[in-house]
Amino acid sequence: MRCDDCQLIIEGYFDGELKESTALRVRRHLDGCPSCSRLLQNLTAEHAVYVASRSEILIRPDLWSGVRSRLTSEQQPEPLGALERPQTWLSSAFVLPRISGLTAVALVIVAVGMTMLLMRYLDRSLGDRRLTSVSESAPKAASAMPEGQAVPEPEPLVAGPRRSPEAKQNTGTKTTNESIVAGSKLKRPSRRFETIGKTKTPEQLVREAEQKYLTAIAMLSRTVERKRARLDLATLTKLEQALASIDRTIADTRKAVRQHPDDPVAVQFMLTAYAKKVDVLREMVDY
Amino acid sequence: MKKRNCKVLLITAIMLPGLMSVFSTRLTIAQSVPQSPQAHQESERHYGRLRINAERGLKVNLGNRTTGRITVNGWDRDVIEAQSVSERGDEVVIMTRGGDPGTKALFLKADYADLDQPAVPTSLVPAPPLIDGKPLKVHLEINLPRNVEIGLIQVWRSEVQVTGMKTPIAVSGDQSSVILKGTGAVAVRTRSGNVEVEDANGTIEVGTTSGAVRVRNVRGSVRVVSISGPIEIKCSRGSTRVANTEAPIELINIDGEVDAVTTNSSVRFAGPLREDGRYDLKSMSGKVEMILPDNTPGFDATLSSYGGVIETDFDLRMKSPVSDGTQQRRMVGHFGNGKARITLDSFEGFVRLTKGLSGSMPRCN
Repeated sequence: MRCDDCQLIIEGYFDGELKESTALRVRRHLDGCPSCSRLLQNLTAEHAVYVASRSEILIRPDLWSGVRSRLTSEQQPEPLGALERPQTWLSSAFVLPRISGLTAVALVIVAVGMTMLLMRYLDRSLGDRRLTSVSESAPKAASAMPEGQAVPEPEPLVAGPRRSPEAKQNTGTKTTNESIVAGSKLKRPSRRFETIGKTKTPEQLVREAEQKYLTAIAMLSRTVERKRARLDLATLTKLEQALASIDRTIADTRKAVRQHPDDPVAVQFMLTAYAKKVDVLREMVDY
Repeated sequence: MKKRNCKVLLITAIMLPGLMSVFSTRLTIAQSVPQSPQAHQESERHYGRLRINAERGLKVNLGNRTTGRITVNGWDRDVIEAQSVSERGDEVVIMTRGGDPGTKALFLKADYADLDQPAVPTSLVPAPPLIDGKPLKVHLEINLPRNVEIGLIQVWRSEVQVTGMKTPIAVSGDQSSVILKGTGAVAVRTRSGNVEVEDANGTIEVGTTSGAVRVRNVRGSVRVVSISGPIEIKCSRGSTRVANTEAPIELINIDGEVDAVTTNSSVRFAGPLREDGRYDLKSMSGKVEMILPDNTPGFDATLSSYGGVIETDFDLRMKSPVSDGTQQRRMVGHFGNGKARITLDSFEGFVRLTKGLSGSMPRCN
């Protein structure tokens, strides 16, 4: 490992965030590199500064006794007026340990109940909306689409008006040459641009993508199996050789992705191989 | 027809490893790691603004001890001006001269000033000064002659902004956001940092794990690879090849070959076609849409979807019968002069070739 590489990840090493193998490489480099070791010492010193600054606000034990004695002196009862009495009783009822415990339980039950009702209501209304959106745009794809990822309506730039959901359900392919919608302009999906992909880690997304391809491959393979008899032996042999070649590429690229899960190039390498397999199977289905 | 398709598939399948190795040509920035100053090289610590005459053939490397910004501004003077600043005011710039006998190198790095010793603020500060309990950020601001070569800018969290340089720029960051405007060729690699490139001349290569990528007004080929970052390319005059797994791909006014692939998300292209251009947009489960102006001279289009819907506003002359079953829909058609070639495909998503009003199409500046 070179100093440049080490210095780039030394903070991660110090924080214990590196993988064991990387940490070992850093440790080995530090053993033989005075300048990087010095850097690590500096980091340690910085950490010490943090620790020191944190300890400055630690509360001394004698402070507590002082606070307690002041509280005791402030809790002396004072004479109350006729109007103040019910108010005091009401407020003190909620600070009694027994009642406040019951109140807390009751509040929790009410909160849970309200949340469940709200969730049920939202689920119903969102579900309806989602169903409408999917059926309008891609009825056949709806079952395979991830939840909530309904195909949005085409943007208003288009020249032809949208067809009715019924028309779309009747046929999958359609040529439309209808009146032009004037004054529309391209809308950028800026909100999606900012939010998608933030909730899941890249590794999860890659696993999901891989799973999606595997599901498609399994589905297509079943269809191909049913149509196998229609293919002549020579074609079948060649196609199977092609599939075997793609499978080898998939295996190799998967290995690369396992080693470098964050590497977008390795990931695209693997997914391209899966996509190619899907393409070949789709052609076989067409036979 | 089917036999011909089969042959094409067989050839492509056999050639797959080769094709993919071309597709996945890796970013080469890792090979051009700058030479950091060696122990024997003399470092000078400057407090305040530093001015140096830029010698011919000089290569400048930049760094930051802190997580503060690195800002480079190209100018038309033969002088290098560097300054480190923080919310306390001026900080220190460490300058190290070095390089091989044949090349001259200059390393400029932002560091803390020792404000406890006003007489010698350039003294080394062993631990970072804290502001609100956090280490102080020092920003390195540099004015460079436009044609000075800049070595790989390697950062962890520091933002990088480079403007007005004619030379190629390479940045490797982790969480750093990178903004490059008016530069030469660009190579950027980040993990979660966003990347924005504008008005660049030369090849643009961006690889990011989850950062968003925006490229605008560039005059070279563009290649962007991401896992979960959205990709937006607008007004590119070269070939454009983009791929991601999740998050939308948006391509606007691309005057070159286009190859866009995503798995879970949508791909959208809007703009005129190059007369003999090739446009391949593909998604596994997302929507694939191409919006062309209504005065498009012509194209050959293949629209396909295994489980989704296909639509087009163009009156295509069908080259083969429309495959319109419950599954595996395909439409191969010809429009106008048929010179450009379009392939839109989504396995289970919506495929649409849309006619837009030429007056409403997005424009480039």
